[in-house]
Amino acid sequence: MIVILARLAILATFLAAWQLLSPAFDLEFFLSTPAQVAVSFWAIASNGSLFYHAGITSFEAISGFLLGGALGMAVGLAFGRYPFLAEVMDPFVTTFYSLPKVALAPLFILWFGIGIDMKVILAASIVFFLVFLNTYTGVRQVSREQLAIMRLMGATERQLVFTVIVPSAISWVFAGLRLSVPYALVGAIVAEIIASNRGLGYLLSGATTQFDTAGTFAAIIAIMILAIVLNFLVKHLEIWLTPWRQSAPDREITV
Amino acid sequence: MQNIAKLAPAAETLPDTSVPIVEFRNASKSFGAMQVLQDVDLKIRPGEFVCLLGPSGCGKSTLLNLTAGLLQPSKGSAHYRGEKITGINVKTGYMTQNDHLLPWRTVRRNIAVPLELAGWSKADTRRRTDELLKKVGLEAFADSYPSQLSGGMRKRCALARILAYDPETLLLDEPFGALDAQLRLLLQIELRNIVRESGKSVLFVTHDVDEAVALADRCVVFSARPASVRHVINFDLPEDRDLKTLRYNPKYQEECARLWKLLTPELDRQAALGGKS
Repeated sequence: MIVILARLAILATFLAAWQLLSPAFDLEFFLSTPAQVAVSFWAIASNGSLFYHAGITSFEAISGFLLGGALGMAVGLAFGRYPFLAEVMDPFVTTFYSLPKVALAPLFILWFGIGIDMKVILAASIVFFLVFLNTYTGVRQVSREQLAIMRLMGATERQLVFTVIVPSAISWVFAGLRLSVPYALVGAIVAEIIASNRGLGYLLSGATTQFDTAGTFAAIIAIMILAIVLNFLVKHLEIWLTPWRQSAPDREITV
Repeated sequence: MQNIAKLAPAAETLPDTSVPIVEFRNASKSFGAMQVLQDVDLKIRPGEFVCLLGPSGCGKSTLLNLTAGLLQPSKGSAHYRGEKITGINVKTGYMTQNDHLLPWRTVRRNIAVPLELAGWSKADTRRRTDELLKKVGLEAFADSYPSQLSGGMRKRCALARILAYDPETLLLDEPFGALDAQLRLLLQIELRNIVRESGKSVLFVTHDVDEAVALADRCVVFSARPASVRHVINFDLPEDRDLKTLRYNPKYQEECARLWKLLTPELDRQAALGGKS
């Protein structure tokens, strides 16, 4: 309770300072005021454009996550299973991994236009590497002893893949899920800022180009809320999908 | 795989004690420049509980790997029921200090793994896992995940999983190594009971003298690396020994002392080699 009160006090102090100091130092043009931001936010929320743009951005982020995630898992699984392939491809993968994927955005615009496709693909290219690396680690993490024990139980290679390797990789992917979704959002928003006609990134850059500081803050707040919602959903999805992880703290720990 | 499967029922109806269940003939094994086994000659009779005792890191586990068909000897050969072991030997079940349970499966579904692999029906799997859960005393934890279990319960779960596919021979590599003394005693009792009931053969690797004497019918003492057979000892202890009171049995104490005496020179030699490496 005290914690909540303290948090509210900090928030109130911050907003009050912003509200009072911004006009006092004649910085309203750059900083706007919470009241103006609230009005701006209410305007986009009440005419429905907020939900339209947020919907577009969510769609891009989630599609990008699913596409990049599926490809990342497939490639991670293949590399994990065939070390020769992994060894051959290693320098290429490392090079692409080091490249900031945002640098590919202009190329994607050239190839796919400024529509939703390009955002999905940029988000996917960011998520791909995160999921790929997690999956690859997951597959490699399966110990040779574990596989030997399964083989002694009579497991065929196919059964090994589906009973041990894939579930192990998936549990690693779930572990990376919470990491990947915010990155998918980064991909979608950056792509929208670069070139688009809808989405929260478009709303943001649109307001900035019109020197609408209050509108810019309103868009940032909308992005924050979307990020919080996505994080919340992913967290609960993770709990639901990986019940064995959450169960650990039930037990007394032994050090 | 198939001809081994055919052999099994015949062996049950007509126990042929003349053919050893596991036999090493002059088996040697090297990993690169390091030799871990040297000319091991050893016969294990069906239904026997044999402890393999030696300094840590001497190469005892390699013998289990040879029996399981995970490794091939560099020289000599390993045989199972008279047949040369050339690939994965599915007649054996392996359990190590690490229980290798699948963390995303509940206890029941972990035990069911070998049954699923063998294509058992849902109903049969359910019935069999119920039996096994009861046997190892984990009924109340059927739907728990391994991460919710204590070390001893995880071992029980791994034991139940091995019993689910009912291998003829158990290869146990310090399975109770990481447990506290009381828990280890309880699991040792369970293991001996289960083995006696089912007539399974057991190769049990340990470096614990007391454990070897308590569990085994026979104990093989290995030299420091490269491991070769130093002594083979038959224990003069009753089949139906009570592990809880065994430590007060003067005969047990005698056997322990005898074994220690045989083992210590090898410990010194292994220490000179640089211990565990």
